[in-house]
Amino acid sequence: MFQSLSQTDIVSLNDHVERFSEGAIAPKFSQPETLISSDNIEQLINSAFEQGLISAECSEGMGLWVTTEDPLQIQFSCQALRKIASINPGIAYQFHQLALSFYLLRELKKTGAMDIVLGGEEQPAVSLQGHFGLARYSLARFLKGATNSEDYDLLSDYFGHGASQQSTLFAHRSWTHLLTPVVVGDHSSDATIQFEWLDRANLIHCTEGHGHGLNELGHYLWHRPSNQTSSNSEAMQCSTLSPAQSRSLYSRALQIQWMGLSNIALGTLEHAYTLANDYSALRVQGGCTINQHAAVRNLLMDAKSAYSTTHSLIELACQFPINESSLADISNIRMKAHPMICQGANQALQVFGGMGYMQDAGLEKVVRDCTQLRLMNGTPMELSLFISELEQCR
Amino acid sequence: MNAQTKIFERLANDKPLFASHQSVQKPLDGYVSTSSLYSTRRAFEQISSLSKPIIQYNPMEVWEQDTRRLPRQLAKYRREVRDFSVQHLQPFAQEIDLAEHLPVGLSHPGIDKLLKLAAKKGFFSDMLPKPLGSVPLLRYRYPLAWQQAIKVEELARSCGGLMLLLSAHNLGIAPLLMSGDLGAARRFLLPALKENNSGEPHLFAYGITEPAAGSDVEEGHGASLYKPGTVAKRVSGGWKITGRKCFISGGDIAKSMTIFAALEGEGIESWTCFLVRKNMPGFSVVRNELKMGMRASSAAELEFDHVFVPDSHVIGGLRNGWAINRSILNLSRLPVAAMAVGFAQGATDAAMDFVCRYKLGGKGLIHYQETQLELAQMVADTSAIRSLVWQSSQSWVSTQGKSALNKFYCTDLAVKVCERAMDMMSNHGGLHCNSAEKAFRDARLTQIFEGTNQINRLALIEDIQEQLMSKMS
Repeated sequence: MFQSLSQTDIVSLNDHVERFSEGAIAPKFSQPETLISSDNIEQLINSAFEQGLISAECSEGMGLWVTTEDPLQIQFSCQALRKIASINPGIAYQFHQLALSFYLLRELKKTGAMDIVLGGEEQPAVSLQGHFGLARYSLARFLKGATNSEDYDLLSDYFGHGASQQSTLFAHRSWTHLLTPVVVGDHSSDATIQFEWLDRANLIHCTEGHGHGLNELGHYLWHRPSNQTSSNSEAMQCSTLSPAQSRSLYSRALQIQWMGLSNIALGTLEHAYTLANDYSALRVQGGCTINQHAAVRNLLMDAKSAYSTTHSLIELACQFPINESSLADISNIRMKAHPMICQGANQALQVFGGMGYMQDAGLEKVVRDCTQLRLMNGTPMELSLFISELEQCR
Repeated sequence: MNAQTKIFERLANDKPLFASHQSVQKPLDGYVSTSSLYSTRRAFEQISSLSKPIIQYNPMEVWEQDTRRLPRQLAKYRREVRDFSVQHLQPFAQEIDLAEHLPVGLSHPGIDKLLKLAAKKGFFSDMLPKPLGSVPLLRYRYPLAWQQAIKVEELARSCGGLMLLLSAHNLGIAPLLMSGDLGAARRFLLPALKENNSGEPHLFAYGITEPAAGSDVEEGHGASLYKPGTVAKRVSGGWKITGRKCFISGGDIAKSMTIFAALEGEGIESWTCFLVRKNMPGFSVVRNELKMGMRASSAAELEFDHVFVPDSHVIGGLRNGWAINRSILNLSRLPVAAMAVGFAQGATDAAMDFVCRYKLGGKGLIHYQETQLELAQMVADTSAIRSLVWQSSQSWVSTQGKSALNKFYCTDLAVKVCERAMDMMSNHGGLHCNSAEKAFRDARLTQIFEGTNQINRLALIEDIQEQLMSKMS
């Protein structure tokens, strides 16, 4: 059973994360222009397990996303991801993905898979998103239990993962299994989302490419081999979940993902603002430090205001459990916050002038990472369609 | 018959490019087929022949329509540069963007090959007419800014880094042209152009930025307060230059550089332009920066350790450097705006290809209205900034205000177009192979160099200062 946290616990846990971030993570990312080695990331992942930051069990409140019911625990997860992302968004994303994988495995009661993973030989990755966007209106209708036959076709394609439906995945290169949704059912019945546990070696065709941001992680385009469909794969199906339960689980998982992405981007922006603010107090142009110029003040305030606004929205969302009722609010926050965050990050880079374009200043990576995060699991335009459909279904 | 009527007539007589395809393909969702009586294609066939010269359906690609509206010589040039860009830059763009960052002194073999091709093509001597340069006399009737805008847009559309690699040279030779120093032009420019015309690249670089002065070398107020970091000391027969210049595009591969230094004990008002050769003792390339984008082109830090430069290497006279620099910024900001148009066009083209190719729910993304709306915005934004650049570059005289407004307006909008392209590709938008993310990284520099967009906004105000002050009196 999960033990509820108190405010005092949160303070102490945050201190713990702070120490872990500054002591273990920060020294490995001191040079933004140099990519951290895969081994170093693996060490950090192991340390995060040892510290309890990523936890397979839900009995300790310390782990990221151990529950979606306790607002204080949600608050802790958000704060921890922000803190880690302020040092490196890639490692924050990796921790977040592992925590989300364990959340799903717990909810699916797949202790067997969990044991294998905890044995240390397997590494999970999760790909919640179908092959493109948010399936227009269909995913929203599905989550509201209002699908029609057209939606079933679109969702089957969306989660189909065939050769022409390649999905994107960001994960540390050591991943061995992929947890991913698939739609089952037919036109005449309620569609259900099952989660499959796919073996990378046997089931997935993968190509690794170069991506815009989060360069610490591998970027993959994956799909099933042509002779492999969801029905004959070694699928781990959530057969115990009814259609309503499956909708509820996918909805929570999606919201965890959005909260994670928003908080990682926010932590990244916080870092950018700090760098820009510090630099503006030192750099002299026009006969004074550049923070005396309105042009630079405007840039700084764009970054600061994006941070403060998003932070307030997220704090507000953290007052409530993550469930089906919070879906519209959390998707709204992500839709509105992410363009602001990207704009803020761009303005922070601009404060640095030419120096901001150079990799060793660290700002260009912030911009790329924030942009990359905006593109994952629903862009603002796709979220807009998604939310509009949630409104229609009310 | 005036020129406009001629153009209309020409367009009216053109056969549609896609006639055979349109009649058999299913229309996009939400539209009638082009064979339908409700379509403009069919409807406009019915209109009076008197109206046809000014109202028509034209299925020609937008690029082709724009090209045909240019004067003949410029249209020809646009086609030539597009061909070169598609043939030599496009296939190399992704590879060079991902290539390993090489130490100073080493370069990718593909770069060397491209430089030779570009030299042969006349890209490094296209600031002057034949026989000195490579520009056909008839094309030289049109302003250089317009010619350059056409060129850099087409090159940037394929690859920002390669575009800059091939374009920074013109900035380097600009002081030789803008100084009016015919002796210097004869001594330094003509031999270099001759080498270039023979296919042996002789590149120039332009050096103003210093570690402690970015914006300060781009605007008067900051310059008046800045203590110069690169200084020339008088010695017998010439000058000894000491200091550093940073973020110099192509600084590592240039054989010659036009470097601005203050005279010892004086401020930037004493700036003087010196021609520095790469083999002069005391000169070195300290490093090449690792950049966000435009990776095929270097941004070099240059060190001058008591580099002796003879008097004959002073360009345009002592203490004339500031005037030369400001005049060059007026000329160089329009091409930066044109680069932005190229990036926007490249991103739009990449997004267009993607949404026509990629399927969701069994049909191409282009069938969905939200995709059409985004694409329309991108086409409109790109077209708007191109119109601004072409309109502004139709004069031989570049004013500071006009150049600056083009630079900040076009580059800001181009970055937004690139972001929109990535968003249209959704979770695939960050993948390098889809090109939009590269266009974004490349375009992002245009908001910074040749003066940040903040400095360019202020430059516009400086240019209309007298007008503003007259309203205050």
